[in-house]
Amino acid sequence: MSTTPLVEMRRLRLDLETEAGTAHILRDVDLTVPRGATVGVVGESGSGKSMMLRCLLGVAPARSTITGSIGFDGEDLLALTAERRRKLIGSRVGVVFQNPMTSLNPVVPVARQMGEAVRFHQGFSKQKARALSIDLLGQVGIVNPERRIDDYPHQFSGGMRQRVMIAMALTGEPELLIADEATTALDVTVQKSILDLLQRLQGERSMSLVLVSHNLGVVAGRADEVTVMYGGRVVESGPARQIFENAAHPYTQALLRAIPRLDAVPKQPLPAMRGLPPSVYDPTLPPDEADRRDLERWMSDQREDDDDN
Amino acid sequence: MSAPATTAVSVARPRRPARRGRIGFWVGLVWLSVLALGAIFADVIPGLPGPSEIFGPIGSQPDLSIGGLLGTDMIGRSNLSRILHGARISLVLAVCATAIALAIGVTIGMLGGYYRGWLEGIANFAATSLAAVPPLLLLLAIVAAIGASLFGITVALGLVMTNTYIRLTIGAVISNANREYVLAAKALGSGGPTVMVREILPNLIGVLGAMIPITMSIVIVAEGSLSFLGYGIPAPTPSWGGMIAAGADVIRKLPIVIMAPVATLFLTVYSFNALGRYLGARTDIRDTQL
Amino acid sequence: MTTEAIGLRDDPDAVLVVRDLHCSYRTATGPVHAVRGISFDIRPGETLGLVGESGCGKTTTGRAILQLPPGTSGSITFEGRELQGLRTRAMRVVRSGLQMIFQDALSSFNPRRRVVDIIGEGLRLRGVPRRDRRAQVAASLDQVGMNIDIVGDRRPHEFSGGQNQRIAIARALALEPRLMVCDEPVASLDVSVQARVLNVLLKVRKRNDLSLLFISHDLAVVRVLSDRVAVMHRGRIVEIGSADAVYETPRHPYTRILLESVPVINESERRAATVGPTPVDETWREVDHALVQVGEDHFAALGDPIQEPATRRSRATR
Repeated sequence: MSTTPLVEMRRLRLDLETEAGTAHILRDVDLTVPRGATVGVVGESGSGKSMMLRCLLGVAPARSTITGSIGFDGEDLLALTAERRRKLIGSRVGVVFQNPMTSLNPVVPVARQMGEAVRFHQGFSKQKARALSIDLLGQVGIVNPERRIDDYPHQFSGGMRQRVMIAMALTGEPELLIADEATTALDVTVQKSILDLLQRLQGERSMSLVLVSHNLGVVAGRADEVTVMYGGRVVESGPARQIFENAAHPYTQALLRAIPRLDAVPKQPLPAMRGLPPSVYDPTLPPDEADRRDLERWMSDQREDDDDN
Repeated sequence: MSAPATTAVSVARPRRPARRGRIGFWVGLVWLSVLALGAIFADVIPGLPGPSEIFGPIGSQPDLSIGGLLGTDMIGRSNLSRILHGARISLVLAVCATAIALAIGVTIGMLGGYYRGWLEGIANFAATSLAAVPPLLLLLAIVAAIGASLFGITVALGLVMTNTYIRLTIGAVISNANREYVLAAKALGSGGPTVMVREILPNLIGVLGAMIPITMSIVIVAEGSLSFLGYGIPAPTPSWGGMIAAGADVIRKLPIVIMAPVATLFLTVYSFNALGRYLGARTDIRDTQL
Repeated sequence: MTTEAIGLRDDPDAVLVVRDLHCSYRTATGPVHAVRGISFDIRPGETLGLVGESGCGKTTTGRAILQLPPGTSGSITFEGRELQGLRTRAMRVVRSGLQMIFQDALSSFNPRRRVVDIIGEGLRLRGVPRRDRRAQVAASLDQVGMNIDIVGDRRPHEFSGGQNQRIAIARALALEPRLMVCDEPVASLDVSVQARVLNVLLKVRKRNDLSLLFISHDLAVVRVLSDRVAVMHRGRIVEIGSADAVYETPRHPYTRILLESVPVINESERRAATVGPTPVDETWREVDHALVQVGEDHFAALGDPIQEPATRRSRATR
């Protein structure tokens, strides 16, 4: 197995044209996904993590300018035509999104949706595709898959729908599985079982797994490496242990402190963060300068007297 | 899946001006203003003959005199004068009939949609009944009952349009009544009528407002149809529909007699729609600006 | 069903006492029994956290307390006054003492209103004249760290989720309530914003000696705020007691499963002990057990199975 990382994103920049000016959605984002590893990408709303994924998958919004490079198995995705890119990553990357009800067509039985995916990726006959679909449903923990495969999405519970989504994402035998806030809308016990499932599948298939979440707990204990995003930039990245035990960037530290803990001293105010992620609308500053100023401003915000805390 | 950079900004962004429909809005506004002024002052415009006055030779072409701006019809009456006087009828009709439809329709719809149960049943029944009868027949029936006066026709047209508003209102009220801000209002202590008027009604304005110009247009055209059939405002009061009916007979020889009211009708209906669309877009509170 | 009174502390000063509450409603496929006989009480200045997963009935409970809609049977006493069966007019008088904040603050606002009117609405309904209203609205906003001159004339869509939630809290506070029901108020907020809103709640609660019924699926958040905790499952309370007792020595299997499933940064946060009695394995999922006392101010559904008279099993409400 090659030791080059499966995904190597370098200095990714995304600028979006809007009526209010040019929005710097992503600024010099670096991301590395080693083969067979689990990478956690954490960030709050507006951090750009979803946009980054969209760039990787080739579905960035129109009217956006993207620079930098996204290496997938050595090839730069941004240098390819859309056609080539689709062929390259189509079956090698699987994605599971947050809301399975809107990712699955509610009026089509699961068998057909999965069958389509299978045949698209692997070109099997209908029977073979159905058999493979049933097998995949079983692998993701659906009981009686041969019966359930003909059900409609709404006949599954939220957690089971997500399992169906995972099965669909696996139809192309991907090398990379991305879970974009895949468990955010689920109950905590269901969330745990889905995350356990993802980890198990990753181990069985030696896939790389990318967990994108705003919930650091989801990522802790499951990721080998963690990248923290804020305001369109990567503020910190490294081995998970290091990030969680010894965060270097003040934002990461503040974020970790603000999370309520199960063993919290009750009724103590949480060390909350002031201010909101920086506006991405300052077109006059070059990105590095904007970087520095935003961080300075953000840090001085933290020091201000605040009667909320 | 947050859209880029639309979250986490605490200062209000300037609202995007509605660019769409601006031209139409102004065209419509100008036209309707001119028409309204002309209709109001039709009696005192210097040089404008009365609508029934035989003013010039039969079928003269449009010339530069005020009375003859649009030529004369087959009896010699000034087309312009008849159009302006007819505008009075049409505009009054449009406003009053729509007002009737609104008042009755929204009330019934609101009560039915808010309280549900048998009230909703009655409201639905009313709407369906009104809708089930072919509009023309309904119009004729009401006119036959009340009389073919301006009042009668106004009421008839208003009633025919009511069912749309009942349906529209019921749907909007039901969807709004379960929203959390209504629950919150009740938690604060608002009673039924208060909730209906202060919370739900203002949120219906968008939906209703879009419908109003459409209704007005339909009413004007419907009056035209009635007149065309001979059941409209009785002569000699001019109405656009009546003019169109009369003009149909002489369409080859005196095309202007029919073209003038048709063009006026078209411009007026267009203006109502353009106004409605533009104002609807402007007053729509959007939550995308989070 | 006097066994349901187990878990109630007999305190005459209690602000809220819920006794054997049932909430059912009709759906196309038959009745759904969302709440099936729960009891709890809240003292002045105390916060009860109500936790559970979707469909457990916690939201329905919160709404029933405000009688929006009322429960199907059982008793809800607020400041000594029975709310179930209270006539609408009388309930409206009681309303100001009982307020609620919702998960999506934005959707709980009339989108066309300005902030100052939103917050002042309750006061207006009470008959407070306009000039006095503004002062009280300003005071309310001040409590949540906002300035009426800056935010008053704006509309909700101009604010972020966290700010809207603070506005919602200000609206509730304007009526000087004794009890506030918080239905997942921070569930859809980012961590940093969540922390601020929680801090606002802590501060406001202390200052006004406010009781809270804090409904949430997030056990860590509940831990920060709550004095006592009740765990709901399928319409019933399976464990209730002081927060320390429930979090540190959970007795019911479901509570333990919940605590184990919470994604934490450090495993050391989980201090759930795993010793202690449990009922027969897994039957608790299907059969209701009676609450028994397992510690000082600590009760768990580990007792004998309860025979519910011809009641259908509660189904997930969503």
